[in-house]
Amino acid sequence: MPCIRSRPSLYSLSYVKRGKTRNYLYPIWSPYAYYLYCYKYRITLREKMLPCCYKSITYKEQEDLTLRPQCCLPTCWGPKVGSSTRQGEDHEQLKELYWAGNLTVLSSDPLLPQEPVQLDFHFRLTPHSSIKWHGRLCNQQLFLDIPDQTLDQIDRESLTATLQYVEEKTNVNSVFVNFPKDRKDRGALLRAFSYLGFEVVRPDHPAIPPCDNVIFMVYPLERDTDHLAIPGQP
Amino acid sequence: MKGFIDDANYSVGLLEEGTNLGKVIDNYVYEHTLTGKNAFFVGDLGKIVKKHSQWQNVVAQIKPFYTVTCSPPPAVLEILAALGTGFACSSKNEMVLVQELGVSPENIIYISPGKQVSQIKYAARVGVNIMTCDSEIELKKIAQHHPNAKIFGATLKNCRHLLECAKELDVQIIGVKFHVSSACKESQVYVHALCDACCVFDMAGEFGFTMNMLDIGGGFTGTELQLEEVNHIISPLLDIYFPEGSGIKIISEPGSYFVSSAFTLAVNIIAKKVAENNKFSSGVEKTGSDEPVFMYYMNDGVYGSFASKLSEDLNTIPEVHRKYKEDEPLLTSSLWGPTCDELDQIVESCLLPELDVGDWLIFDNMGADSFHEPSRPAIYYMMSFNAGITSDTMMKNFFFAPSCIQLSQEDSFSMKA
Repeated sequence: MPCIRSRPSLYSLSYVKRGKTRNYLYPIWSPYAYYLYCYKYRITLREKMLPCCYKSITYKEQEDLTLRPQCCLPTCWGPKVGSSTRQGEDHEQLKELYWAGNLTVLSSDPLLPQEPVQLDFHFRLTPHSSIKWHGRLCNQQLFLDIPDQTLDQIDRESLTATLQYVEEKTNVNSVFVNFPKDRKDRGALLRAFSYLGFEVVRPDHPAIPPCDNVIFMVYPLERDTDHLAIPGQP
Repeated sequence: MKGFIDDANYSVGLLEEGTNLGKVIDNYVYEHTLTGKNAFFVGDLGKIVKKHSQWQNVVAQIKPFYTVTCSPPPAVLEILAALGTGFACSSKNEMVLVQELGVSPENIIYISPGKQVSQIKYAARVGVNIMTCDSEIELKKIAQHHPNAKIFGATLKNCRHLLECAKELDVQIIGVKFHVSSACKESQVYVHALCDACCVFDMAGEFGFTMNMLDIGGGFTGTELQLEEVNHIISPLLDIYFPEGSGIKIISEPGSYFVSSAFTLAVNIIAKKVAENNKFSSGVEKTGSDEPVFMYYMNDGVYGSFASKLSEDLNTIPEVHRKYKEDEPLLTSSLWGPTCDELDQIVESCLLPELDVGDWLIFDNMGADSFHEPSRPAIYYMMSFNAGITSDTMMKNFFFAPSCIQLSQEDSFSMKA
């Protein structure tokens, strides 16, 4: 129905944008390589139409401003996100913690003892190539980012060696892996990790940071309880 | 991890003459409608018994070791234990569950691909000696923590290297395992796998190991036809390469074969949304009509009982519980779980009559990989009978009417090398 506007429409700030930008301070395989962001926005639109009828449509949506690296950091990072001292470290500044066979474990220095620590696992496949699992250790939980390669290229032994190190040399009781929901091989990844003993984590689970576009799986480590009685024996 | 300790007491209803699964479901739907409309499972243990007898009819020479991860509720494990199957466990919790039912350690094999040291130590303590192994790292772990382990190899690549390692570490290798997935049961795959297995047996013989076990894995969907096909393919090969008299035991690891058809899930619709026709992803024909399409949200989703949908293993269409007329129009609908997650979609598109919040949907064949903690829906067990099947009183915790189910005695499966 045609209408003749007597006044131009009024708009207020109207912007929502989601997406990611490259953070060039980090190499592309680093978990800090991208920022994710979205903005707060509101649209107000009023139209006045003749004859003398008034119609207004108001859209209001609220989203929090976030600026965080790709692989969602656990909330225990807190205000350290974006601080220059931590972002300045790239993987060469990690120190070697452990080395055995094909596995090298590197870690960052926590500034304070209870702070989260970056823990990287480099597994040598051939003399010239290796596969790297980046991780963050915090409060007995290890968050691992799945390498960006396709599933076939990810050597299962690199993960089992990593898990073995975690079981034997740390007191971690849960290992979380995450990968983007829109990965084309998502089904295959889920099956592969389920086979190894991982379970999918519900998106509202308290242990994982709220993150829309990433799916988490957890591997619970059964810490030895030698003192428990064996069923069936007196 | 999965553990159903609080299920220690459950009851099994007997189906009387004249009732069937549909009526049982109706009954529970009615009860649940009055008390909060939570989703629930109905498990027909009689179907498990039927599947077992089907197995015995077709492939009696292969002893099944049920993969506990597939469906761990205690009633299922108990009935399988009573029927005499073995169990394939992949975690300490599972071994504990199975042992509490009185299953002897010889009937348990430990098959996790990523074994934790604490689990290996537990297996050593309780006498679960047979386990899979497919990498050197794991071989070393097992050698270190489980001196009596009898290993069967689960990979055919690097086998020579693994056999050498095992010899050095003084670990016993007793067999080979291969697995053919359910998607691919063609004869050629089995032929190759069995030939390869035979080569490995020969290789192991050279190293001085006595091989006496062959595991043909799982991946059986549950239809009798498929099982017969597989038997048709492999039994001539088994006769040639692993004949009866050679002392080689053939085992298998069926999982969903036994349980998939036994469980039915009833879910309730908690929300309903009408969407535009063109919002559907490709694959759905745009009819161009302005028929609305419906999105129904249910109180169980991929983060609960429909977990196999996430790994794309599940294709299921529900039945509508309420009676609807023949001429009610069927509309394009999609089904979603209760979280607001974009992945929490159960059915992308199907034709259903228009439903309302509070209606029930019934999903069949939900026995496999559907039981996840926490907040698993309630399970109601029942036992349907086929003529001529009776049971023995090894089943504790069952509340029965006087009739007994009795099965033929089976020789226990000895794993002494």
